[in-house]
Amino acid sequence: MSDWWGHLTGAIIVVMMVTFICIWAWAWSGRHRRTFSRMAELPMDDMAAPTVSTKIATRKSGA
Amino acid sequence: MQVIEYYDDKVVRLFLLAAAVWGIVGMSVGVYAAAELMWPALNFDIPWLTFSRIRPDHTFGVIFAFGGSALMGTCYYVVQRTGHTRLALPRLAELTFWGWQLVCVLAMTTMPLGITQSKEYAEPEWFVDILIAVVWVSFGAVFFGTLARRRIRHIYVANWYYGAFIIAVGLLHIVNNIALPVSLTKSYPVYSGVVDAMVEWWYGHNAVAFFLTAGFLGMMYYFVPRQAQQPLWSYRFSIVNFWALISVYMWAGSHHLMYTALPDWVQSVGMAFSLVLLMPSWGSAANGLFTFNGSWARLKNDAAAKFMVMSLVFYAAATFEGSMMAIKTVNSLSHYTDWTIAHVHSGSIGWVAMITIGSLYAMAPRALGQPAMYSQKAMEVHFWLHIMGLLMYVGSMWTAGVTEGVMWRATNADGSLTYSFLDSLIAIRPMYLIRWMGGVLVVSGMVVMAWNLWHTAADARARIIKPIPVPIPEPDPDQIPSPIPAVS
Repeated sequence: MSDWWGHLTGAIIVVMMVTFICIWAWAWSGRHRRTFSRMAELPMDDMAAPTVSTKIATRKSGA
Repeated sequence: MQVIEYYDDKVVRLFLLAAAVWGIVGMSVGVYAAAELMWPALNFDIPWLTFSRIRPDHTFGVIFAFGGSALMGTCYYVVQRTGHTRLALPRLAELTFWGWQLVCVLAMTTMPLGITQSKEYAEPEWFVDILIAVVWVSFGAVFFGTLARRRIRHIYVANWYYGAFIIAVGLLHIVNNIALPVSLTKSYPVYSGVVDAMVEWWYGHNAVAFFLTAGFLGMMYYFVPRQAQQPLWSYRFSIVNFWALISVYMWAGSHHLMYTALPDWVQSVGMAFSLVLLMPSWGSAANGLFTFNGSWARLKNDAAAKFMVMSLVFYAAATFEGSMMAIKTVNSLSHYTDWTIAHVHSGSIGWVAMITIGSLYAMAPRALGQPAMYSQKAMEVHFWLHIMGLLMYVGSMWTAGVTEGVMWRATNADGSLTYSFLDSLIAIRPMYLIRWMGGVLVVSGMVVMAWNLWHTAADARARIIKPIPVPIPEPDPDQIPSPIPAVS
Protein backbone atom coordinates (compact mmCIF):
# COMPACT_ATOMS: atom_id res chain seq x y z
CA MET A 1 0.00 0.00 0.00
CA SER A 2 1.40 3.40 -0.95
CA ASP A 3 1.73 6.22 1.64
CA TRP A 4 -0.76 8.32 -0.29
CA TRP A 5 -3.40 5.58 -0.25
CA GLY A 6 -2.80 4.92 3.46
CA HIS A 7 -3.26 8.61 4.37
CA LEU A 8 -6.42 8.79 2.25
CA THR A 9 -8.06 5.73 3.84
CA GLY A 10 -7.06 7.02 7.30
CA ALA A 11 -8.63 10.41 6.58
CA ILE A 12 -11.83 8.77 5.31
CA ILE A 13 -12.10 6.68 8.50
CA VAL A 14 -11.70 9.82 10.65
CA VAL A 15 -14.35 11.66 8.60
CA MET A 16 -16.76 8.70 8.93
CA MET A 17 -16.21 8.49 12.72
CA VAL A 18 -16.76 12.23 13.17
CA THR A 19 -19.91 12.05 11.00
CA PHE A 20 -21.27 9.20 13.11
CA ILE A 21 -20.63 11.11 16.34
CA CYS A 22 -22.36 14.17 14.81
CA ILE A 23 -25.42 12.01 14.00
CA TRP A 24 -25.55 10.90 17.66
CA ALA A 25 -25.24 14.53 18.81
CA TRP A 26 -27.97 15.64 16.39
CA ALA A 27 -30.34 12.85 17.48
CA TRP A 28 -29.74 13.51 21.20
CA SER A 29 -29.89 17.32 21.05
CA GLY A 30 -32.51 18.86 23.30
CA ARG A 31 -34.17 20.89 20.56
CA HIS A 32 -35.55 17.73 18.94
CA ARG A 33 -36.95 16.26 22.16
CA ARG A 34 -40.55 17.50 21.76
CA THR A 35 -40.72 16.59 18.08
CA PHE A 36 -39.29 13.11 18.62
CA SER A 37 -41.64 12.43 21.56
CA ARG A 38 -44.60 13.31 19.33
CA MET A 39 -43.17 11.26 16.45
CA ALA A 40 -42.79 8.19 18.68
CA GLU A 41 -46.58 8.31 19.22
CA LEU A 42 -47.52 8.97 15.58
CA PRO A 43 -48.31 5.32 14.63
CA MET A 44 -50.96 5.16 17.36
CA ASP A 45 -52.99 7.94 15.69
CA ASP A 46 -54.21 5.48 13.06
CA MET A 47 -56.31 3.57 15.59
CA ALA A 48 -58.25 6.61 16.78
CA ALA A 49 -60.81 7.11 14.00
CA PRO A 50 -63.71 4.68 13.36
CA THR A 51 -63.10 2.11 10.63
CA VAL A 52 -66.62 0.94 9.85
CA SER A 53 -68.82 3.12 7.68
CA THR A 54 -72.36 3.93 8.70
CA LYS A 55 -73.56 1.96 5.67
CA ILE A 56 -71.88 -1.21 6.96
CA ALA A 57 -73.08 -0.64 10.51
CA THR A 58 -76.62 -0.25 9.23
CA ARG A 59 -76.38 -3.38 7.10
CA LYS A 60 -74.97 -5.45 9.96
CA SER A 61 -77.67 -4.35 12.39
CA GLY A 62 -80.20 -5.64 9.90
CA ALA A 63 -81.72 -2.23 9.27
CA MET B 1 -61.09 26.76 4.45
CA GLN B 2 -60.97 23.17 5.77
CA VAL B 3 -59.61 20.77 3.13
CA ILE B 4 -61.34 17.37 2.94
CA GLU B 5 -59.44 14.47 1.43
CA TYR B 6 -59.35 10.71 1.89
CA TYR B 7 -56.57 8.18 2.19
CA ASP B 8 -56.07 6.26 -1.05
CA ASP B 9 -56.31 2.68 0.19
CA LYS B 10 -57.48 0.97 -3.01
CA VAL B 11 -53.94 0.25 -4.15
CA VAL B 12 -53.09 -0.90 -0.61
CA ARG B 13 -55.93 -3.45 -0.77
CA LEU B 14 -54.72 -4.69 -4.17
CA PHE B 15 -51.20 -5.26 -2.86
CA LEU B 16 -52.64 -6.96 0.24
CA LEU B 17 -54.48 -9.44 -1.98
CA ALA B 18 -51.39 -9.96 -4.15
CA ALA B 19 -49.20 -10.62 -1.09
CA ALA B 20 -51.61 -13.31 0.17
CA VAL B 21 -51.72 -15.03 -3.24
CA TRP B 22 -47.98 -14.82 -3.97
CA GLY B 23 -47.18 -15.99 -0.44
CA ILE B 24 -49.01 -19.24 -1.11
CA VAL B 25 -47.58 -19.62 -4.64
CA GLY B 26 -43.95 -18.84 -3.72
CA MET B 27 -43.92 -21.01 -0.61
CA SER B 28 -45.71 -23.91 -2.35
CA VAL B 29 -42.99 -23.93 -5.01
CA GLY B 30 -40.45 -24.02 -2.17
CA VAL B 31 -42.20 -26.99 -0.59
CA TYR B 32 -42.16 -28.81 -3.94
CA ALA B 33 -38.45 -28.05 -4.35
CA ALA B 34 -37.83 -29.42 -0.84
CA ALA B 35 -39.83 -32.55 -1.77
CA GLU B 36 -37.63 -33.04 -4.85
CA LEU B 37 -34.53 -33.03 -2.62
CA MET B 38 -36.13 -35.75 -0.49
CA TRP B 39 -37.71 -37.70 -3.37
CA PRO B 40 -35.75 -36.82 -6.56
CA ALA B 41 -38.15 -38.78 -8.80
CA LEU B 42 -40.68 -36.00 -8.29
CA ASN B 43 -39.13 -34.03 -11.14
CA PHE B 44 -40.55 -36.72 -13.49
CA ASP B 45 -37.66 -35.97 -15.89
CA ILE B 46 -39.54 -32.88 -17.05
CA PRO B 47 -37.03 -30.07 -17.70
CA TRP B 48 -39.16 -27.18 -16.35
CA LEU B 49 -39.93 -29.15 -13.19
CA THR B 50 -36.32 -29.86 -12.20
CA PHE B 51 -34.95 -28.40 -8.96
CA SER B 52 -32.59 -26.03 -10.78
CA ARG B 53 -35.51 -24.50 -12.72
CA ILE B 54 -38.02 -24.16 -9.89
CA ARG B 55 -35.63 -22.99 -7.18
CA PRO B 56 -35.40 -19.45 -8.67
CA ASP B 57 -39.19 -19.48 -8.94
CA HIS B 58 -39.36 -20.10 -5.19
CA THR B 59 -36.86 -17.37 -4.31
CA PHE B 60 -38.36 -14.82 -6.73
CA GLY B 61 -41.87 -15.78 -5.63
CA VAL B 62 -41.29 -15.28 -1.92
CA ILE B 63 -38.83 -12.37 -2.02
CA PHE B 64 -40.07 -10.17 -4.85
CA ALA B 65 -43.67 -11.30 -5.43
CA PHE B 66 -44.79 -11.92 -1.82
CA GLY B 67 -42.32 -9.64 -0.01
CA GLY B 68 -42.38 -6.98 -2.73
CA SER B 69 -46.19 -6.78 -2.82
CA ALA B 70 -46.34 -6.57 0.99
CA LEU B 71 -43.63 -3.89 1.05
CA MET B 72 -45.22 -1.74 -1.63
CA GLY B 73 -48.69 -2.05 -0.07
CA THR B 74 -47.55 -1.20 3.45
CA CYS B 75 -45.29 1.56 2.13
CA TYR B 76 -48.27 3.27 0.45
CA TYR B 77 -50.28 2.85 3.67
CA VAL B 78 -47.55 4.13 6.01
CA VAL B 79 -46.40 7.12 3.96
CA GLN B 80 -49.98 8.46 3.90
CA ARG B 81 -50.62 7.96 7.63
CA THR B 82 -47.28 9.38 8.78
CA GLY B 83 -47.60 12.43 6.55
CA HIS B 84 -51.33 13.07 7.06
CA THR B 85 -51.86 13.21 3.33
CA ARG B 86 -53.23 11.07 0.52
CA LEU B 87 -51.04 9.44 -2.13
CA ALA B 88 -49.51 11.63 -4.79
CA LEU B 89 -49.99 10.32 -8.35
CA PRO B 90 -52.73 7.75 -7.51
CA ARG B 91 -53.01 6.51 -11.11
CA LEU B 92 -49.28 5.88 -11.25
CA ALA B 93 -49.57 4.07 -7.91
CA GLU B 94 -52.15 1.72 -9.42
CA LEU B 95 -49.92 1.25 -12.46
CA THR B 96 -47.09 0.19 -10.14
CA PHE B 97 -49.42 -2.54 -8.85
CA TRP B 98 -50.28 -3.91 -12.29
CA GLY B 99 -46.69 -3.43 -13.49
CA TRP B 100 -45.29 -5.36 -10.52
CA GLN B 101 -47.78 -8.21 -11.02
CA LEU B 102 -46.77 -8.37 -14.70
CA VAL B 103 -43.10 -8.52 -13.65
CA CYS B 104 -43.81 -11.39 -11.25
CA VAL B 105 -45.86 -13.39 -13.76
CA LEU B 106 -43.29 -12.87 -16.55
CA ALA B 107 -40.35 -13.79 -14.31
CA MET B 108 -42.02 -16.85 -12.85
CA THR B 109 -43.14 -18.23 -16.20
CA THR B 110 -39.89 -17.60 -18.11
CA MET B 111 -37.42 -18.94 -15.51
CA PRO B 112 -38.73 -22.55 -15.50
CA LEU B 113 -38.45 -22.48 -19.31
CA GLY B 114 -34.72 -21.89 -18.94
CA ILE B 115 -34.85 -18.21 -19.90
CA THR B 116 -32.46 -16.92 -17.23
CA GLN B 117 -29.36 -14.81 -16.64
CA SER B 118 -28.21 -17.37 -14.04
CA LYS B 119 -27.42 -14.57 -11.57
CA GLU B 120 -28.69 -15.55 -8.13
CA TYR B 121 -31.74 -13.51 -7.02
CA ALA B 122 -31.50 -11.64 -10.37
CA GLU B 123 -32.40 -14.49 -12.72
CA PRO B 124 -35.00 -12.80 -14.98
CA GLU B 125 -33.76 -11.87 -18.45
CA TRP B 126 -33.18 -8.36 -19.77
CA PHE B 127 -36.74 -7.58 -20.91
CA VAL B 128 -38.09 -8.32 -17.41
CA ASP B 129 -35.23 -6.30 -15.86
CA ILE B 130 -36.17 -3.23 -17.88
CA LEU B 131 -39.80 -3.56 -16.79
CA ILE B 132 -38.67 -3.90 -13.14
CA ALA B 133 -36.62 -0.69 -13.48
CA VAL B 134 -39.60 1.22 -14.94
CA VAL B 135 -41.99 0.02 -12.21
CA TRP B 136 -39.42 0.75 -9.52
CA VAL B 137 -38.79 4.32 -10.66
CA SER B 138 -42.60 4.85 -10.77
CA PHE B 139 -42.87 3.44 -7.22
CA GLY B 140 -40.18 5.92 -6.12
CA ALA B 141 -42.03 8.79 -7.82
CA VAL B 142 -45.26 7.98 -5.94
CA PHE B 143 -43.45 7.55 -2.59
CA PHE B 144 -41.30 10.68 -2.77
CA GLY B 145 -44.16 12.66 -4.34
CA THR B 146 -46.32 11.72 -1.34
CA LEU B 147 -43.54 12.70 1.07
CA ALA B 148 -43.31 16.06 -0.71
CA ARG B 149 -47.00 16.79 0.01
CA ARG B 150 -46.92 15.67 3.67
CA ARG B 151 -48.46 17.89 6.35
CA ILE B 152 -46.02 16.91 9.11
CA ARG B 153 -42.65 18.54 8.66
CA HIS B 154 -40.52 15.81 10.28
CA ILE B 155 -40.36 12.67 8.14
CA TYR B 156 -41.28 9.69 10.34
CA VAL B 157 -38.41 7.18 10.65
CA ALA B 158 -40.29 4.32 8.90
CA ASN B 159 -40.21 6.46 5.75
CA TRP B 160 -36.43 6.84 6.03
CA TYR B 161 -36.16 3.06 5.82
CA TYR B 162 -38.69 2.81 2.98
CA GLY B 163 -36.85 5.61 1.14
CA ALA B 164 -33.47 3.87 1.52
CA PHE B 165 -35.09 0.63 0.34
CA ILE B 166 -36.44 2.28 -2.82
CA ILE B 167 -33.24 4.17 -3.72
CA ALA B 168 -30.79 1.37 -2.94
CA VAL B 169 -32.79 -1.43 -4.61
CA GLY B 170 -33.12 0.69 -7.77
CA LEU B 171 -29.36 1.29 -7.80
CA LEU B 172 -28.50 -2.35 -7.11
CA HIS B 173 -30.91 -3.70 -9.69
CA ILE B 174 -29.72 -1.44 -12.51
CA VAL B 175 -25.96 -1.85 -11.87
CA ASN B 176 -26.13 -5.64 -11.41
CA ASN B 177 -28.26 -6.19 -14.52
CA ILE B 178 -26.26 -4.18 -17.06
CA ALA B 179 -26.11 -6.69 -19.91
CA LEU B 180 -25.90 -6.97 -23.68
CA PRO B 181 -28.98 -8.62 -25.20
CA VAL B 182 -28.18 -10.92 -28.12
CA SER B 183 -31.78 -12.05 -28.69
CA LEU B 184 -35.19 -11.60 -27.10
CA THR B 185 -34.48 -14.34 -24.57
CA LYS B 186 -30.71 -14.16 -24.05
CA SER B 187 -28.27 -11.55 -22.78
CA TYR B 188 -24.75 -11.55 -21.38
CA PRO B 189 -23.59 -9.43 -18.41
CA VAL B 190 -20.95 -6.78 -19.10
CA TYR B 191 -18.91 -8.07 -16.16
CA SER B 192 -16.76 -11.17 -16.22
CA GLY B 193 -14.86 -13.46 -13.86
CA VAL B 194 -14.25 -12.33 -10.30
CA VAL B 195 -15.62 -8.84 -11.03
CA ASP B 196 -18.93 -10.42 -12.07
CA ALA B 197 -18.92 -12.45 -8.84
CA MET B 198 -18.25 -9.37 -6.71
CA VAL B 199 -20.94 -7.28 -8.46
CA GLU B 200 -23.36 -10.18 -8.09
CA TRP B 201 -22.74 -10.45 -4.34
CA TRP B 202 -22.63 -6.70 -3.83
CA TYR B 203 -26.15 -6.89 -5.31
CA GLY B 204 -27.13 -10.14 -3.58
CA HIS B 205 -26.09 -9.11 -0.11
CA ASN B 206 -27.57 -5.63 -0.43
CA ALA B 207 -30.81 -7.14 -1.70
CA VAL B 208 -30.83 -8.75 1.76
CA ALA B 209 -29.84 -5.41 3.28
CA PHE B 210 -32.20 -3.04 1.56
CA PHE B 211 -35.05 -5.27 0.34
CA LEU B 212 -35.25 -7.84 3.15
CA THR B 213 -34.01 -5.63 5.99
CA ALA B 214 -34.46 -1.87 5.44
CA GLY B 215 -37.87 -2.27 3.79
CA PHE B 216 -39.18 -4.57 6.51
CA LEU B 217 -37.68 -2.37 9.24
CA GLY B 218 -39.82 0.42 7.76
CA MET B 219 -42.81 -1.88 8.31
CA MET B 220 -41.60 -2.70 11.83
CA TYR B 221 -41.04 0.92 12.91
CA TYR B 222 -44.64 1.78 12.03
CA PHE B 223 -46.67 -1.32 12.84
CA VAL B 224 -44.93 -2.39 16.09
CA PRO B 225 -45.73 0.81 18.06
CA ARG B 226 -49.20 0.81 16.48
CA GLN B 227 -49.94 -2.76 17.52
CA ALA B 228 -48.29 -2.45 20.95
CA GLN B 229 -50.20 0.81 21.48
CA GLN B 230 -47.02 2.20 23.00
CA PRO B 231 -44.75 4.99 21.74
CA LEU B 232 -41.61 3.78 19.99
CA TRP B 233 -39.13 2.96 22.80
CA SER B 234 -36.45 5.40 21.55
CA TYR B 235 -37.08 7.51 18.48
CA ARG B 236 -33.59 9.05 18.50
CA PHE B 237 -32.00 5.59 18.76
CA SER B 238 -33.94 4.56 15.64
CA ILE B 239 -32.28 7.42 13.72
CA VAL B 240 -28.76 6.44 14.80
CA ASN B 241 -29.52 2.82 13.87
CA PHE B 242 -30.76 3.89 10.45
CA TRP B 243 -27.56 5.69 9.48
CA ALA B 244 -25.36 2.96 10.96
CA LEU B 245 -27.26 0.20 9.15
CA ILE B 246 -27.30 1.74 5.70
CA SER B 247 -23.67 2.87 5.81
CA VAL B 248 -22.28 -0.46 7.06
CA TYR B 249 -24.38 -2.96 5.07
CA MET B 250 -23.04 -1.80 1.68
CA TRP B 251 -19.53 -3.18 2.42
CA ALA B 252 -20.38 -6.64 3.74
CA GLY B 253 -21.21 -8.43 0.45
CA SER B 254 -17.81 -10.03 0.01
CA HIS B 255 -18.47 -12.38 2.94
CA HIS B 256 -20.41 -14.47 0.40
CA LEU B 257 -17.14 -15.14 -1.43
CA MET B 258 -14.82 -16.37 1.33
CA TYR B 259 -11.95 -18.60 0.16
CA THR B 260 -12.58 -17.80 -3.51
CA ALA B 261 -10.51 -15.99 -6.17
CA LEU B 262 -11.57 -12.66 -4.63
CA PRO B 263 -8.54 -10.79 -3.19
CA ASP B 264 -7.98 -11.78 0.44
CA TRP B 265 -8.17 -8.21 1.74
CA VAL B 266 -11.63 -7.76 0.16
CA GLN B 267 -12.81 -10.88 2.01
CA SER B 268 -11.40 -9.44 5.27
CA VAL B 269 -13.19 -6.11 4.70
CA GLY B 270 -16.45 -8.04 4.27
CA MET B 271 -15.83 -9.96 7.49
CA ALA B 272 -15.01 -6.81 9.51
CA PHE B 273 -18.08 -4.89 8.30
CA SER B 274 -20.28 -7.94 8.94
CA LEU B 275 -19.19 -7.97 12.59
CA VAL B 276 -19.85 -4.22 13.00
CA LEU B 277 -23.26 -4.76 11.39
CA LEU B 278 -24.44 -6.65 14.44
CA MET B 279 -24.75 -3.40 16.40
CA PRO B 280 -27.35 -1.54 14.29
CA SER B 281 -29.18 -4.82 13.69
CA TRP B 282 -29.55 -5.52 17.40
CA GLY B 283 -30.27 -1.83 17.98
CA SER B 284 -33.43 -2.02 15.84
CA ALA B 285 -34.43 -5.40 17.29
CA ALA B 286 -34.07 -4.01 20.84
CA ASN B 287 -35.98 -0.85 19.93
CA GLY B 288 -38.89 -2.93 18.62
CA LEU B 289 -38.93 -5.36 21.55
CA PHE B 290 -38.64 -2.63 24.22
CA THR B 291 -41.60 -0.88 22.57
CA PHE B 292 -43.70 -3.75 23.90
CA ASN B 293 -42.64 -2.86 27.50
CA GLY B 294 -45.86 -2.17 29.34
CA SER B 295 -48.03 -4.10 26.90
CA TRP B 296 -46.65 -7.62 27.07
CA ALA B 297 -50.11 -8.72 28.23
CA ARG B 298 -51.32 -8.14 24.65
CA LEU B 299 -49.36 -11.21 23.60
CA LYS B 300 -51.87 -13.42 25.37
CA ASN B 301 -54.70 -12.70 22.94
CA ASP B 302 -53.19 -10.74 20.08
CA ALA B 303 -51.74 -13.04 17.38
CA ALA B 304 -50.50 -10.08 15.30
CA ALA B 305 -48.40 -8.92 18.28
CA LYS B 306 -47.10 -12.49 18.71
CA PHE B 307 -45.95 -12.53 15.08
CA MET B 308 -44.20 -9.18 15.57
CA VAL B 309 -42.40 -10.12 18.79
CA MET B 310 -41.22 -13.45 17.41
CA SER B 311 -40.10 -11.76 14.20
CA LEU B 312 -37.89 -9.41 16.23
CA VAL B 313 -36.45 -12.33 18.20
CA PHE B 314 -35.60 -14.09 14.93
CA TYR B 315 -34.22 -10.83 13.47
CA ALA B 316 -31.80 -10.60 16.41
CA ALA B 317 -30.95 -14.32 16.16
CA ALA B 318 -30.45 -14.37 12.38
CA THR B 319 -28.28 -11.23 12.35
CA PHE B 320 -26.12 -12.63 15.16
CA GLU B 321 -25.77 -15.86 13.23
CA GLY B 322 -24.96 -13.95 10.01
CA SER B 323 -22.19 -11.98 11.68
CA MET B 324 -20.72 -15.16 13.15
CA MET B 325 -20.90 -16.98 9.79
CA ALA B 326 -18.96 -14.12 8.19
CA ILE B 327 -15.94 -14.93 10.40
CA LYS B 328 -13.56 -16.79 8.11
CA THR B 329 -12.98 -19.78 10.40
CA VAL B 330 -16.71 -20.29 10.98
CA ASN B 331 -17.36 -19.80 7.26
CA SER B 332 -14.89 -22.54 6.41
CA LEU B 333 -17.26 -24.96 8.17
CA SER B 334 -20.61 -23.46 7.19
CA HIS B 335 -20.09 -22.47 3.55
CA TYR B 336 -21.73 -24.68 0.90
CA THR B 337 -23.60 -26.62 3.62
CA ASP B 338 -27.27 -26.52 4.62
CA TRP B 339 -26.31 -24.24 7.53
CA THR B 340 -26.54 -21.41 4.98
CA ILE B 341 -30.05 -22.61 4.08
CA ALA B 342 -30.97 -22.65 7.79
CA HIS B 343 -29.59 -19.12 8.23
CA VAL B 344 -31.43 -17.63 5.28
CA HIS B 345 -34.72 -19.27 6.31
CA SER B 346 -34.31 -18.20 9.92
CA GLY B 347 -34.15 -14.69 8.47
CA SER B 348 -36.86 -15.12 5.85
CA ILE B 349 -39.50 -17.35 7.54
CA GLY B 350 -38.55 -16.01 10.98
CA TRP B 351 -37.93 -12.29 10.54
CA VAL B 352 -39.30 -11.25 7.13
CA ALA B 353 -42.40 -13.43 6.87
CA MET B 354 -43.45 -12.94 10.49
CA ILE B 355 -43.10 -9.12 10.51
CA THR B 356 -45.00 -9.12 7.20
CA ILE B 357 -47.80 -11.36 8.46
CA GLY B 358 -48.05 -9.39 11.74
CA SER B 359 -48.19 -6.10 9.83
CA LEU B 360 -50.76 -7.42 7.32
CA TYR B 361 -52.98 -8.61 10.19
CA ALA B 362 -52.59 -5.16 11.78
CA MET B 363 -53.25 -3.22 8.58
CA ALA B 364 -55.89 -5.38 6.87
CA PRO B 365 -58.92 -4.59 9.06
CA ARG B 366 -58.26 -0.85 8.77
CA ALA B 367 -57.69 -1.00 5.00
CA LEU B 368 -60.74 -3.26 4.55
CA GLY B 369 -63.11 -1.16 6.65
CA GLN B 370 -63.52 -3.63 9.51
CA PRO B 371 -62.93 -3.29 13.26
CA ALA B 372 -60.90 -6.53 13.37
CA MET B 373 -59.88 -9.58 11.34
CA TYR B 374 -62.72 -12.00 10.56
CA SER B 375 -61.36 -14.77 12.80
CA GLN B 376 -59.01 -14.29 15.77
CA LYS B 377 -58.87 -18.06 16.23
CA ALA B 378 -57.60 -18.51 12.66
CA MET B 379 -54.84 -15.96 13.37
CA GLU B 380 -53.85 -17.98 16.43
CA VAL B 381 -53.83 -21.22 14.38
CA HIS B 382 -51.69 -19.48 11.74
CA PHE B 383 -49.18 -18.35 14.36
CA TRP B 384 -48.68 -21.86 15.76
CA LEU B 385 -48.51 -23.49 12.30
CA HIS B 386 -45.92 -20.92 11.26
CA ILE B 387 -43.76 -21.14 14.38
CA MET B 388 -43.80 -24.96 14.40
CA GLY B 389 -42.95 -25.07 10.69
CA LEU B 390 -40.17 -22.53 11.20
CA LEU B 391 -38.59 -24.45 14.09
CA MET B 392 -38.74 -27.73 12.16
CA TYR B 393 -37.21 -26.05 9.10
CA VAL B 394 -34.30 -24.27 10.75
CA GLY B 395 -33.66 -27.00 13.34
CA SER B 396 -33.32 -29.67 10.66
CA MET B 397 -31.16 -27.54 8.39
CA TRP B 398 -28.83 -26.46 11.22
CA THR B 399 -28.35 -30.13 12.07
CA ALA B 400 -27.83 -31.07 8.41
CA GLY B 401 -25.40 -28.18 7.85
CA VAL B 402 -23.13 -28.95 10.79
CA THR B 403 -23.24 -32.67 9.92
CA GLU B 404 -22.15 -31.92 6.34
CA GLY B 405 -19.43 -29.47 7.43
CA VAL B 406 -17.93 -31.88 9.94
CA MET B 407 -18.09 -34.88 7.57
CA TRP B 408 -16.57 -32.99 4.62
CA ARG B 409 -13.54 -31.84 6.61
CA ALA B 410 -12.88 -35.21 8.32
CA THR B 411 -9.64 -36.84 7.14
CA ASN B 412 -7.89 -40.14 7.80
CA ALA B 413 -4.36 -40.43 9.14
CA ASP B 414 -3.01 -40.64 5.58
CA GLY B 415 -4.75 -37.37 4.60
CA SER B 416 -7.51 -38.92 2.51
CA LEU B 417 -11.15 -37.94 3.09
CA THR B 418 -13.00 -40.07 5.65
CA TYR B 419 -16.38 -39.70 3.98
CA SER B 420 -17.55 -39.47 0.39
CA PHE B 421 -20.09 -36.79 -0.59
CA LEU B 422 -22.71 -39.54 -0.86
CA ASP B 423 -22.08 -40.53 2.80
CA SER B 424 -22.95 -37.00 3.92
CA LEU B 425 -26.06 -36.96 1.72
CA ILE B 426 -27.33 -40.21 3.25
CA ALA B 427 -26.60 -38.90 6.76
CA ILE B 428 -28.77 -35.82 6.33
CA ARG B 429 -31.68 -37.48 4.50
CA PRO B 430 -33.98 -37.53 7.58
CA MET B 431 -33.35 -33.79 7.96
CA TYR B 432 -34.63 -33.22 4.40
CA LEU B 433 -37.87 -34.95 5.37
CA ILE B 434 -38.28 -32.78 8.49
CA ARG B 435 -37.52 -29.64 6.43
CA TRP B 436 -40.24 -30.57 3.92
CA MET B 437 -42.76 -31.17 6.72
CA GLY B 438 -41.88 -27.79 8.25
CA GLY B 439 -42.48 -26.15 4.87
CA VAL B 440 -45.89 -27.81 4.60
CA LEU B 441 -46.88 -26.33 7.98
CA VAL B 442 -45.76 -22.82 6.93
CA VAL B 443 -47.74 -22.99 3.66
CA SER B 444 -50.78 -24.32 5.54
CA GLY B 445 -50.60 -21.24 7.75
CA MET B 446 -50.54 -19.01 4.68
CA VAL B 447 -53.69 -20.70 3.36
CA VAL B 448 -55.38 -20.00 6.71
CA MET B 449 -54.34 -16.34 6.42
CA ALA B 450 -55.70 -16.09 2.87
CA TRP B 451 -59.04 -17.59 4.02
CA ASN B 452 -59.18 -15.10 6.90
CA LEU B 453 -58.34 -12.13 4.66
CA TRP B 454 -60.95 -13.24 2.10
CA HIS B 455 -63.70 -13.12 4.73
CA THR B 456 -62.39 -9.87 6.24
CA ALA B 457 -62.54 -8.38 2.74
CA ALA B 458 -66.25 -9.21 2.26
CA ASP B 459 -67.32 -5.54 2.41
CA ALA B 460 -64.41 -4.44 0.22
CA ARG B 461 -65.45 -6.98 -2.41
CA ALA B 462 -68.99 -5.64 -2.23
CA ARG B 463 -67.53 -2.11 -2.64
CA ILE B 464 -69.39 -0.74 0.37
CA ILE B 465 -66.50 0.46 2.53
CA LYS B 466 -66.15 4.13 3.22
CA PRO B 467 -62.81 5.85 2.58
CA ILE B 468 -60.96 7.07 5.66
CA PRO B 469 -60.59 10.86 5.90
CA VAL B 470 -57.14 12.36 6.33
CA PRO B 471 -56.91 14.19 9.67
CA ILE B 472 -56.20 17.78 8.66
CA PRO B 473 -56.07 20.01 11.73
CA GLU B 474 -56.63 23.77 11.58
CA PRO B 475 -53.19 25.41 11.23
CA ASP B 476 -51.64 25.83 14.68
CA PRO B 477 -48.43 27.89 14.82
CA ASP B 478 -47.23 26.03 17.95
CA GLN B 479 -47.86 22.55 16.59
CA ILE B 480 -45.12 19.96 17.24
CA PRO B 481 -43.77 18.96 14.77
CA SER B 482 -44.41 22.04 12.64
CA PRO B 483 -46.93 21.49 9.85
CA ILE B 484 -46.31 22.15 6.21
CA PRO B 485 -49.17 24.27 4.75
CA ALA B 486 -52.05 22.05 3.62
CA VAL B 487 -52.04 21.09 -0.04
CA SER B 488 -55.46 21.49 -1.64
